[in-house]
Amino acid sequence: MDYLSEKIVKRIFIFFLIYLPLQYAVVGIVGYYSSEPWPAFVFPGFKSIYVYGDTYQINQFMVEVESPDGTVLREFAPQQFFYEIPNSQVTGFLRSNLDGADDFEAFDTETRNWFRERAQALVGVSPGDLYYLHRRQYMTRFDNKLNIDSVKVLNRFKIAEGNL
Amino acid sequence: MIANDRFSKWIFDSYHPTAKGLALYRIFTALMFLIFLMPDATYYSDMADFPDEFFSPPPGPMMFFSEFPSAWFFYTIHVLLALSWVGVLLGYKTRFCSLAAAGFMLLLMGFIFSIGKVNHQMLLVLVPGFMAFSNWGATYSIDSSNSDIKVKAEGWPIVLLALFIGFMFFTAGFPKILGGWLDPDSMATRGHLLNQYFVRGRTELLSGFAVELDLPWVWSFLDWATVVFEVGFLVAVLRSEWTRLFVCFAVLFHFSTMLTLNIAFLVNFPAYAAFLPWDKIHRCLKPRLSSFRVTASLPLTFGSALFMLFAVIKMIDKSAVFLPDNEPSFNEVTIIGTALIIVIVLGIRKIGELKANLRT
Repeated sequence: MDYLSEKIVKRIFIFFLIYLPLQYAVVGIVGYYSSEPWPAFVFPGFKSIYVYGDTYQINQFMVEVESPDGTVLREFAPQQFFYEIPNSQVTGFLRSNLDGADDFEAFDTETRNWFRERAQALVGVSPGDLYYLHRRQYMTRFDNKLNIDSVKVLNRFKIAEGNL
Repeated sequence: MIANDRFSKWIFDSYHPTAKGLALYRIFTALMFLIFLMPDATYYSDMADFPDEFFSPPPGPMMFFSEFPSAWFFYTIHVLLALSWVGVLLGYKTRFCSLAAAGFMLLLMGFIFSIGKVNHQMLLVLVPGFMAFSNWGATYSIDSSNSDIKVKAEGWPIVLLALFIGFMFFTAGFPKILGGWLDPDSMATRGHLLNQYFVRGRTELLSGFAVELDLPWVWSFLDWATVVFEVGFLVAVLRSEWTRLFVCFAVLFHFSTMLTLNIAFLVNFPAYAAFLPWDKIHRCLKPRLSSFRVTASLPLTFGSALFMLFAVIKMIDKSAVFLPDNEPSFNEVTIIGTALIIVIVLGIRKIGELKANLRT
């Protein structure tokens, strides 16, 4: 027979009607303790809220490249520094690979070399130390325009040391 | 007994596709995948060159791997995926090729998402995976020309697809309720807009206008509308008319998020297209094409016209004349914009039909 019998099709539906809520529960539990499992039949929740009255909080993540003398040479948005990673994945990439770290020793030599080579390719000269910066901008609406109220650096740590 | 009958009716009587209608959908979907929805092959060598430490698989089967495979592995799977879709397009071993397309896409996505972020693109797998069982290769295909056995077009895979879409939308809406989106002061949509605009640099189309829009009731309305739409979709799958209405809402939803948040979910559109009245489209195309004395068969003409249209859109996109930052891309704006026009036309026709019914 070329197609499935009605009985089998009904069983397939019953299976998925049970499976879908169960896998959603697993996604919730595993996602809470670790990160979102895959493959899973879910769409993004976007449950976080960033607006509090007339104040807006914007988290910014940057890669700071210093010159060998220790002055900041350039700041890169993650989309610029990790330019090959699709924009939709950059934030998740940072969360998985950089947010948990607090020092360059968290990365192995291969990774630190990769950071250095990338920085050198972007700035065109041999870079000094590289830093990962997490800062928060507080914005308020004034004169019908959004203005930056204040900026707070929440975390700044070295991700690669300068040329050794 | 009654519940069992209703259950059977829902599964088997919600949709009655014709083999010819499904064949047109098959050709449309295969061309959409081949031209617009294949993973970006230029990313494979980048992935292979990443340090092993960047390999951060999500919990699941990808944890069996410890690093990104070499670029040739990706290219091999990419070619196999493309060949599978060519098989679906031509209707050659259609069921096998459909399942292979689903499998290869799943494998590629697994590695692409092992950079530390899962994108929600499972409909790219579900569409060929489910439609494999609809017999969408029953006509206008190499399979049908090689066999005299008539196979029936099945509607239940479309119900299953609707169930998955409805459930997946529910998983997007439910956490929003828990997260406080229904609080009139939260203006969550606006918060996400600002996040996309200032943090991710998504500043195309109407995003700048939306950032400056200071009408709290509009933002609250959008919060509520989003939650009602996403949660309501699960209920809508119970009836085909409701499902089609919610698919229209989905097109409107994606169009508006593309304009303001610059997030275009083109990956969902082949799944939404399953709910188009393909048998009516077939009935409409057949006399028109014969009136122009087109010698080639209908599927060949339909496929060629669609291929040329898609190729032109793709070429304009690649030339980067419009929307060079690619977020959203010219492809996405054109196709989602066209989908919105189709929804508006179908809506106007439906209203006309309802008015005529009321008069009689």
